[in-house]
Amino acid sequence: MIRIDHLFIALDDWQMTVSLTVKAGSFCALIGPSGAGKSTILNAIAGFLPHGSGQIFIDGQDMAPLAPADRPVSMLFQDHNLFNHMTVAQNVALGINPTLKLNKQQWQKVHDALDQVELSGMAERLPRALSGGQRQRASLARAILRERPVLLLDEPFAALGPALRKDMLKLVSTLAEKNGQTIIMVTHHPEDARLAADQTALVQDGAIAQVGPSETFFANPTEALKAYMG
Amino acid sequence: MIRQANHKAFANGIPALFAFLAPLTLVVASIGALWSMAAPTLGETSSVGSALSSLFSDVYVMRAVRFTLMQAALSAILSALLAIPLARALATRNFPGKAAILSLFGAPFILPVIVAILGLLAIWGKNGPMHTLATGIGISGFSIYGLPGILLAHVFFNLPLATRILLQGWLAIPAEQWRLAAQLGMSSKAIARHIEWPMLKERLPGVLAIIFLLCATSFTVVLALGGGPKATTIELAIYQAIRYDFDLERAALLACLQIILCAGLAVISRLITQDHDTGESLGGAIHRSDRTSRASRWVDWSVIILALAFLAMPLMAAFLRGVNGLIMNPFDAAALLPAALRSIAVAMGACLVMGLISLPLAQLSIHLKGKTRRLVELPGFAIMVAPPIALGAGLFILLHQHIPIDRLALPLTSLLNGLQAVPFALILLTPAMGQIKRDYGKQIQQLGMNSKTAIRLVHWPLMRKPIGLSLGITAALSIGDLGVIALFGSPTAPTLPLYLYQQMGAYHMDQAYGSGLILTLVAFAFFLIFDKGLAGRDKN
Repeated sequence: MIRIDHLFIALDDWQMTVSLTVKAGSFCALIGPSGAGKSTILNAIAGFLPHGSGQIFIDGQDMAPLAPADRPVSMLFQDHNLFNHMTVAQNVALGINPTLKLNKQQWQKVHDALDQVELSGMAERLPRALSGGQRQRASLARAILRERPVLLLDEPFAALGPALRKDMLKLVSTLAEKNGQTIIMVTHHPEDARLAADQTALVQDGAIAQVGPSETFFANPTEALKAYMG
Repeated sequence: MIRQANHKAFANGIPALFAFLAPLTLVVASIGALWSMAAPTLGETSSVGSALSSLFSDVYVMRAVRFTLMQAALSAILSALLAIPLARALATRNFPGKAAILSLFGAPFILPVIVAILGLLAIWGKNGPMHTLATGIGISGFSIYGLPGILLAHVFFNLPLATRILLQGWLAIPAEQWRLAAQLGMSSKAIARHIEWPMLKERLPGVLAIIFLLCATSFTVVLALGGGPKATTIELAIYQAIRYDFDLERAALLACLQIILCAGLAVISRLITQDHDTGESLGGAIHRSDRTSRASRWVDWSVIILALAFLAMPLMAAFLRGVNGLIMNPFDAAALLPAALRSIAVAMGACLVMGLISLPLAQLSIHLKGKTRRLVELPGFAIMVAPPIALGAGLFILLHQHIPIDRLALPLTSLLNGLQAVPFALILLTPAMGQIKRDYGKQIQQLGMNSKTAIRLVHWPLMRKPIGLSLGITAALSIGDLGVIALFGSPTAPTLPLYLYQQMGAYHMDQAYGSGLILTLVAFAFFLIFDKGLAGRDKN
């Protein structure tokens, strides 16, 4: 379970205070206008922003003292998930050992992960020889290997076409369900939330304006959600 | 609050501190030595007014100051004025080989200055074709020595630089503006006023400032082509005071003046130069409807051909006479080889100094935010403010009583050449490091790479290209250096440029051209070894 308890973040002249609970193994979508603070929440959970103790708990553990690499979290960004000068296999292998010193069995795991995201033949290619969707699938393969209980998605599929985005969402959901992962996803597309998320939250002006199970969330919109959906 | 996991690959405090303090300490110590030497000569009175008046009454000093400013101003104006039609022609016309020519425009930067001067002498000197031509059409008395030659050489070096900056300006004008101009039926005059002049108004001050600064501290050109009482710059006067007269007070006084002048110029140029995109997109041409007439085509082509002739002829002459010199004269390996080895040793030292200072500084600057970030510019600024001969004079005064200076000639040349390369290297390294942090900083943290792993897997593969280029430029500049080495070097153990200069002084011109060719080959070879060799196969 992820519990965010009055997380307070101040950046220059902007600030946010957020509380949110996401059940273990569930899928939570964050929607809302640009600049509302959606990505900031993910960055705080992943440890890229300083925050005080007693604000973010994952499975009861306080995140504040942990460095990004030590948190039970994998995060996918919109781009630059892969190092452009390394092959796909090397990029995925970083999920097992960031020094890239792998033994034979570990390399086998890399190829298994690539199989799971249907990139079997692409292991030795450089990322730029892949399509946008393939690149994000490779990043997903790395996230699988890191075996972290929480997966944070910061609009990793935003640049893909509608059909491809749907496929990727399905893939992520299936994999997460299989591995028992909890997902928080930032998206600009409310239909993504409807499609994949158990729970949806509307982030606005540095606060959560509405939150609930996705079905009731969209069925009973508050004024804020109506204004956002147009 | 937890401390944000800060990823520092190259700078773990101590290297950064060293890189920050070493140039500053050196410059401050040197200025201190200069000032304590110069102050007593400004009269017993401590009043600034009387000190200044005694300074301004020194004819010799004032003549050097005046000449420095005048030749720098004329060089800057001439280069910029000639660059305007050339950049416009290059922006408008497309032709095969244009890209090659534009990359050749970067060559004067790594070509040893003394070799370019040999080339200019071959074309514009007493027996050169241009001199013959001038005499033929009745212009007599043209001499490449003195002001005309200095201007000629400065335009030769700076016209390509000015042209590249202005060409970027022309290409940065949005295509929509040209289409709009065509739709409105604007004449060339109207286009010049409404589209081109606003761009020039933005870029010309920066162009003039940088060329002025480069020419105000130019040494080798003035050493080779000027030098008489009428054509001496401050930089050369410092050298003459130390080497010919051993008048350290005068040298210190001149060096102080030079540093004050450079500080003023650097501040002014920082204020008026705007940051432009440093993207190297010089390809392509703009489509303008007003310059399609036969006449305007003729004008553009003539400008391009004349400029190319002006820039290429000296290079070709230096090359041909170099080949000829090597064939006609026995190869003096006993003198050339040790000289070449000394030059290479100096260059390797300079590369080391440059790397030890630039890499941590670049790393430091991307980790700092806001005002502290400007602090990191301080060492680079100190280096700009103290040009090599002035800085060298300070070190000379500091050291000469304790140790025979010519024993330190090579290390000091390495040190000063390496320092001179730092501002250039920072321009290449800082954006590259910043990009790594922006693109991959979070990944490196999330994956838990330690510094060593991050350097091996991320920083080195992505930085080797800019690092290779910085090292290449440093090596080429320092192999071709005839500034610091002239100040400190011993005639019996010369570097390659100094040996060449000795040959010129002895009127062994054929041999000098031969040495010039070897010098150029060595400089370019080391540039390529670093730039291409280190950069490796391009994976991106």
